[in-house]
Amino acid sequence: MLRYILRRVLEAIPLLFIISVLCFALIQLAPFDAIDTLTTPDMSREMVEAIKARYGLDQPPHIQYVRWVQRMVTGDLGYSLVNHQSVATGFFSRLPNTILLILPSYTLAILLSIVIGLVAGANRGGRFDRAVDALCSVGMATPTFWVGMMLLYIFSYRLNLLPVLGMHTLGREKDWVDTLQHMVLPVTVLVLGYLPGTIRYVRSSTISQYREDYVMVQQAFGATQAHILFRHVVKNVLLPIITLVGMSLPALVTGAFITESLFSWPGVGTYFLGAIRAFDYPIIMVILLFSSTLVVVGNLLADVCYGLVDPRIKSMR
Amino acid sequence: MKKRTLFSRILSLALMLALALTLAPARTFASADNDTFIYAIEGDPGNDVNTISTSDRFGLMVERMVYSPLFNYYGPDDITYLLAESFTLSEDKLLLTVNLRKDVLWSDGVPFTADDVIFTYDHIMARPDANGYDGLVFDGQKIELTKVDDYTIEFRMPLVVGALLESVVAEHFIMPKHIYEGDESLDNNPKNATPVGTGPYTIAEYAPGQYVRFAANEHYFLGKAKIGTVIFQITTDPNTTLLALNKGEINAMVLANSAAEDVNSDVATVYPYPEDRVGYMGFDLASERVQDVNLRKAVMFALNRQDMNVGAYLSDEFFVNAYSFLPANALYYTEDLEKYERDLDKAKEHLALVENVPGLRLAYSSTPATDMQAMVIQQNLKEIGIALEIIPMEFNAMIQRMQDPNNSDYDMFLSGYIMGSDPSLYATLFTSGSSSNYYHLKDDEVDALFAAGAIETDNAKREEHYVKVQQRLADLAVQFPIVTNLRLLGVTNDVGGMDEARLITIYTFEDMSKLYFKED
Repeated sequence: MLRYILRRVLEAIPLLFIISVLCFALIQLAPFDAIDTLTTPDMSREMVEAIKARYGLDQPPHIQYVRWVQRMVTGDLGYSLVNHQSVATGFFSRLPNTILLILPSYTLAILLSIVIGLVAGANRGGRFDRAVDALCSVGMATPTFWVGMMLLYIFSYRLNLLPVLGMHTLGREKDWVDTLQHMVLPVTVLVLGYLPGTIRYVRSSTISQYREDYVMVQQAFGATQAHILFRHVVKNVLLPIITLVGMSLPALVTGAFITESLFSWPGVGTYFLGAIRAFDYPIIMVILLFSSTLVVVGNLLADVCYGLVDPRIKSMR
Repeated sequence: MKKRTLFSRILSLALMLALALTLAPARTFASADNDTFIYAIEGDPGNDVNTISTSDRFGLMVERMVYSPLFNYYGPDDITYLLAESFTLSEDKLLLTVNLRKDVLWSDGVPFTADDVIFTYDHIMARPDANGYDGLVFDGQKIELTKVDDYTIEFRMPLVVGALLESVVAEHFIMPKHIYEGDESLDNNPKNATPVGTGPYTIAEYAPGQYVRFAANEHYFLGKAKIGTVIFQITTDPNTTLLALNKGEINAMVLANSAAEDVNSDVATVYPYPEDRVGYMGFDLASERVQDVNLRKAVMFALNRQDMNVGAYLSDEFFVNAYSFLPANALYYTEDLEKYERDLDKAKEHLALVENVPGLRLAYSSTPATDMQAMVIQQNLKEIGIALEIIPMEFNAMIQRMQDPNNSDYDMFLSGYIMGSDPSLYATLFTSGSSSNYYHLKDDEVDALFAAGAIETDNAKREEHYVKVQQRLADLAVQFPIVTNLRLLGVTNDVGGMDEARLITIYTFEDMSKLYFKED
C-alpha cells in the first residue's frame, strides 16, 4: 500500500507542473494584464513602463514563469499586484474561514443526503420518494444566490433574527455564539445547494443495490426492511460516497464563490474572485496550485480509502 | 436500528442547534457599541498603504485616514489647509513658499517638521514609478525643495507648472522621516502595517478580506476625532450590503443609482455628491469610418443627452448634463461652445454632406449605465438612418483596445475620467501621441493651446487658452460629453457632521474626524 501511495504522489508532480504551466499560459493569453488595473490615464508611458518593470511584467512570459517557480520552490508565494499584500498572508488568513464554512456544510449535506437518499431509494415510487425527487429537481434548478437572498430577506431583514454580513459582528470577534449565528444562513444555503445532487447519487445507488441478489436473499430469509437497508445496503451505498467526498476536497481551498460573495464571508472564494477580476496573477496561481494539489490528494485518499474499506479492490492491486 | 437512531439524533441535534441560534434572544448585529462607524467598502486596501505605490481607491481612503497632505486643493478659492497653514507664490510662478503648522505631532508623539516633507518628496522623485512622479520631475529636471527653517519650505520649479498647487502639493501624503529613515523604500515596507501618521486615525487592526479598524489619533492636529473607532468593512455583494445598511448593521455604503430608492429612509439617507467625473462618447480616429467631421457632427446632433442620462442615472438629482471636456467645477469651464443639443435637422444636413454613410460600431465596458446609454445612442442613430452595432466589453479588455493606436474593432466608445480641477491636467487626454489620447487625435491647434496654457502665468491669458481649447475640441467633434454624474453615499440617520466631514472625490470623506453620532 505504501509503495502504491508513493507511486501516486510521484505521478502527481508532473501533473501539477503541467497544471501550473497551463494556468500561467492561459493568464498570459488574455488580452490584458494586471497593469491595466494599476495604471491611470494621467500616467506617462515611461511611468507605466516603470510600473511594469517593478512587478517584472516587462519580461517575456517564460522568464516570468521561471521566476514564479523559483519563488514557489523557496516558499515565497509573492505579493498581490493590486494591494501589495503578501499572498501567503492573504491566502492563509482566509483559509480557516473557508474551512469553517465548507466543512460543516459538506458534512451536514452528506449526512442528510445519506439518510434521505437511502429512505427514498428503498421506497422507490412511494410518496416520500416522489416528493424527494421533485424537491431535488426544484433544488437543482434554483440558483444559490436567489436562495441566499430570500433567506437573508426573511430571516435577517424582515424577522431580524440573524445577521447579514461577514463572519463576526465587528467588535465581537471572540464571541463564538455570534460567529455561529453568522454561519447559520451561509451554511444553510450551501447545504441546500449540495443536497439535491448528493441525494440523487445516494438514491440511485440504493435503487441499484436493491436489484442485487443479496437483497433478495435477505428478503427470502424474512429480514425486515430496516435491517436490509441499514445493515447491508448502506455499506455498499457508502462506498461511492468516498469518491464524492474525495472529489470535494478542493472546495476547502477554492471556497464557495457565490455564497461567500453574497454573505461577504471573508474566505478564499471572495479572495479568488477579486484576484480574477483584477488579473492579480500571483494570487490566482497560488489558489489554482493548491486546489489542483487537493484534487490529486483527494483522488489519492479516495482510492486508498476504497482499498481499505473494500477488500475486493485491495486484492485486485 | 441503532444506525437510524444515531442519524436521527445527529439530525435533530443539528436542527435544534439551528433553531436555537435563530431564536437566540433578539440582539443587534450592529457594532458592539455606538462609538463605532462602519463603512462598507467593496475592495481590500491591503496593509502596505504608502505614498509611493498606493493608487487604488480603497488604499487611498486608508491613506487619507492615516496621513495628511500639506493641503487639499479644490480650486483657487477652495483650499483646506492641513499640514500647511499658508503659502505664497512668486510672480513668475517658479517659487512656492509653504509655511507649515507648528502644532502637528505624529501619532507617536514626535513633532512633524519640514524634514518630513523633504524626506517624502525626495523618495517620490527618486522613483519614476511613484504616484505623482510626473508632476514633480519634468524631462529629468526635478523640483528643488529647500528647508528655510523647521516650518518653512521652498519649492523651486524648473519651469512653470500649470497645475502647481494641485499636482505638486495637494496630492502627496507626507510620511514620517524618523520611522522610515534608512529604509530602502517606502513601499513594500513591513512598517506600513502599523503606520505612524498625522491623519485623524491610526490603524488598530487589519484583517485581510474582512476589515481595517481605525482608532482615533490622540495627537490629531485638528482635534481628536469625535467617533472613537471607524471600521472599513470589506463587503462583496451590493444587495446584501444594502440590507445591512437598512438594518443599521453598517453606517455607510456607496449606492448604485438603481439602489437609491430601496434605501429605507427611516434608517438611512442618500447623499449625492460630485466626483467631477466626465462620462463621454468618443470617436476613435484610428478607424477609417469616422474620418469625416460631418459624419461625426451628424452623429452628435442626433444624440439625446437627456434621454441617455435619465435612462442611465434614473433621476435628474443624480446627474448634470455635460457639454465640455471639463467638469462644470473645473477652472475655466465654459458653455460658450457648440453644445450639440439634439437637432435632427442639423444632423441630417451634416449627414447629407457625407458620401457613403457607413454603419458604425460602439464599444463600451458594460455597466447598467453604459448599457442604457448605448441603447439610446443606437435608437438615436437609427432615426437618421445610421445602423449602430453595440459591442459590450470587459473593462480591462476595453482599456487595452483604447490604448492601441491600430485598433480596428470599433469606431466609437463610451468612457469617462476623473482628472481634477486644473485644465492642464487634461492635456494628456487630447494631445498628439499621448498614451491616454484614446481618440488618437492629432491636432496642432489643440496641442499648441494646451502647451501655451501650461506655461502661461497670466490668469486671463490662461483662461483664454483653455476656453479656446474647449471650443476647438467641440468643433473637431471627437468627443461628445454626456454627463457629470453624482456618486451616491447612503449613511445611517444617526450620523451627524456630514457637512463638516465633506464628501470629496475618490476618498469619500475629506476628514472623518468631524463625524459624530447624534444623541438619541
